[in-house]
Amino acid sequence: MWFLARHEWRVLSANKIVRIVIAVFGIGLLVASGLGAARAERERATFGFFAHRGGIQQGGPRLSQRADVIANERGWLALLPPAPLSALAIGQGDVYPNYIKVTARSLDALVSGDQIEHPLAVASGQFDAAFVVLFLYPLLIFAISFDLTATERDQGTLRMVLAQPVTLRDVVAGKMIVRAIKLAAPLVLIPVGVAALSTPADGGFWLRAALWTIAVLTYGAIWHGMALLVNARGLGAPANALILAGIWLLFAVVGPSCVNLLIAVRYPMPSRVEAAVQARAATQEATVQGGRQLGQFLQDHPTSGNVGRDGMRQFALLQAQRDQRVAERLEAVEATFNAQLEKQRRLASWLSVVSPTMIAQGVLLDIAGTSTVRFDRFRAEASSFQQQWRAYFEPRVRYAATLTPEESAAAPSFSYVDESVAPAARRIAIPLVMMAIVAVALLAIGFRAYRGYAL
Amino acid sequence: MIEAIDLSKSFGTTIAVDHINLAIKPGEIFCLLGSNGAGKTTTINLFLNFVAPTAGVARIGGLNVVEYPLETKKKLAYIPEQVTLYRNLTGLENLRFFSRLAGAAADSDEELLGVLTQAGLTADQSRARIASYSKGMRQKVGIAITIAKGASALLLDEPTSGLDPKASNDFSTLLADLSGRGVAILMATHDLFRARESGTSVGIMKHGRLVETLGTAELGHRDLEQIYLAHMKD
Repeated sequence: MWFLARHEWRVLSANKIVRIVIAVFGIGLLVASGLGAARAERERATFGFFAHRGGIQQGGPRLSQRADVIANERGWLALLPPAPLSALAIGQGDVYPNYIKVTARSLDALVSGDQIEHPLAVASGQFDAAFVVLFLYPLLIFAISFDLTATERDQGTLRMVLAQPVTLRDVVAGKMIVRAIKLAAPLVLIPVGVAALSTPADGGFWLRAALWTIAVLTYGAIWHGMALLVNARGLGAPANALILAGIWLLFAVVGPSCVNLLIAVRYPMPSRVEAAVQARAATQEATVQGGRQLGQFLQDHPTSGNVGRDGMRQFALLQAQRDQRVAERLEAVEATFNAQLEKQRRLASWLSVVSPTMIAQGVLLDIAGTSTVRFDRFRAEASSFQQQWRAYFEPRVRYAATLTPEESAAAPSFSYVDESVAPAARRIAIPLVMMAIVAVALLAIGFRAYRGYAL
Repeated sequence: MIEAIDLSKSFGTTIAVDHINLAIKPGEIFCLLGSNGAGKTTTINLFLNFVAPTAGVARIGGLNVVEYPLETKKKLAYIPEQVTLYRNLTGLENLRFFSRLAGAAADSDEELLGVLTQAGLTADQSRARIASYSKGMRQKVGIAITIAKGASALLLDEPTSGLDPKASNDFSTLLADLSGRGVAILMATHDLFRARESGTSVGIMKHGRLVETLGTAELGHRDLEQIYLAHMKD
């Protein structure tokens, strides 16, 4: 079989069309990897810039050290560092914010929306290595595998080969191995190589890169299996090409689109704009309520001179009550938005089994660290940090305190620590095993079907 | 030795080969004649184990081709009407591929070029791509594969069809040479003249049955034609 594979390598290498296909594929991969690496570099630079300027002392000592100003206005900018393999897959990175401004009042992310990229880019998806893997790779597998044996059978070469002491299974396996290597080698080496050169690669990077490689190869094996099965039917090369193009459309394009449509119909998503409007209305309503009490207070104390220390504290308490109302209303709006989002995700997770592309997308993004899992974790940690922030500042705000340098230094701080590779590996284990089972089954059925191949 | 014992093959209700018996000894050239659809190619396919027999046994070198598919293919060579090789490779590269596939000993350029020369190709022709070969030249590569492989049985399916008289004659000379080396040859053909000239015996197939077997030594060309036509009239 290996001798046949070596021979097939030579034959395929001498084929101009295959050479062009591989060259275009390689260029596409280089471009996608280069764009991904440049984007990751920008993310690192931005993160470094803000991380350096972070903290409550940012802006210098001339800023007010009043507790309410720090707690409610200046807040803390919680930053999500670039994902471990963000150079390979942008994933949800163009939809979810990688920073959250934490104040005692709110987590300012839902309504800001300024993280979201150009809608056209979000709608069409980014051109990254994951896009090449998920959509172009299957198409190219079909492009060089639609004619495994059909033309050789029609021309008679296959009969010449099979008149030698060799089995058809070995001939086909040799052809498939070469095709798999020709596409998988650049597909794995170029993006991972570019990412490794441009990313500070640690142990976690290489573990994730290994998982990425396994997932990519398993995904590819599914499409090779489909190609094998169609070839084994014994039809001519044009018929194979037509059938395989239909299969690609069905599983990579139409299937995911139908799933999205189904989800949108079953759980229509309130738009972010609508959520932002609701949030603003809720904030305004609560502010007006609180404002009345504060207005009454100011009427009673027209000049700051006669307020006194107790008056300041009373004023701070009223402000805190108003902020609490605003926060509660905002949380309600966010909870509705997130609940609907969660329903969508759960349904999408179930329906993704209809398309290997959807399953693989979930797996690859999770490995890259750009799936919703990491953003949810970031938000949960930011929310938990907000509790600490509130707990630290609330008594000081009510006391209308001004922070001493020691108190500033002792204030809670946030630094996101990425989870290790193990939890991600556990999450992707089941979908990866599912993909492997499908791939093995398709290949086994394909080779079995080849037993009845008419020469 | 090429041997068929009550060999039959049906495709659904159509009987393609009907209980044929033949035994071709080393050095013999058995020419299988018959009209289109008589079952000649199916008979060859049965020996190649490309199709499974419905009944009976096909043997190469004493081994059942169904039970020992790889062992029997080590012993046999096959030349179809169109020797379709890899167009992007040279004659030499094609020969190297097929002889290695067959596990042949000859492997160096010198050895393989020597084999191609024996088959009637010059060194320059051998180093040219198959895409530039004529049909006759490709047939010679087929003969070279047979020689390099050291096959003891050779199956040919209308190999001289479409060859000019000179190329056809050259091909017959090569077959005679292989016969002289002790190769048992089964050749399906429509060419009565070539069958009588090259063959040691001829068999006439009709509706899947081997209706007549004759030695060519005492047979004139005209006799063969009349016998053949008489069978075709029935």
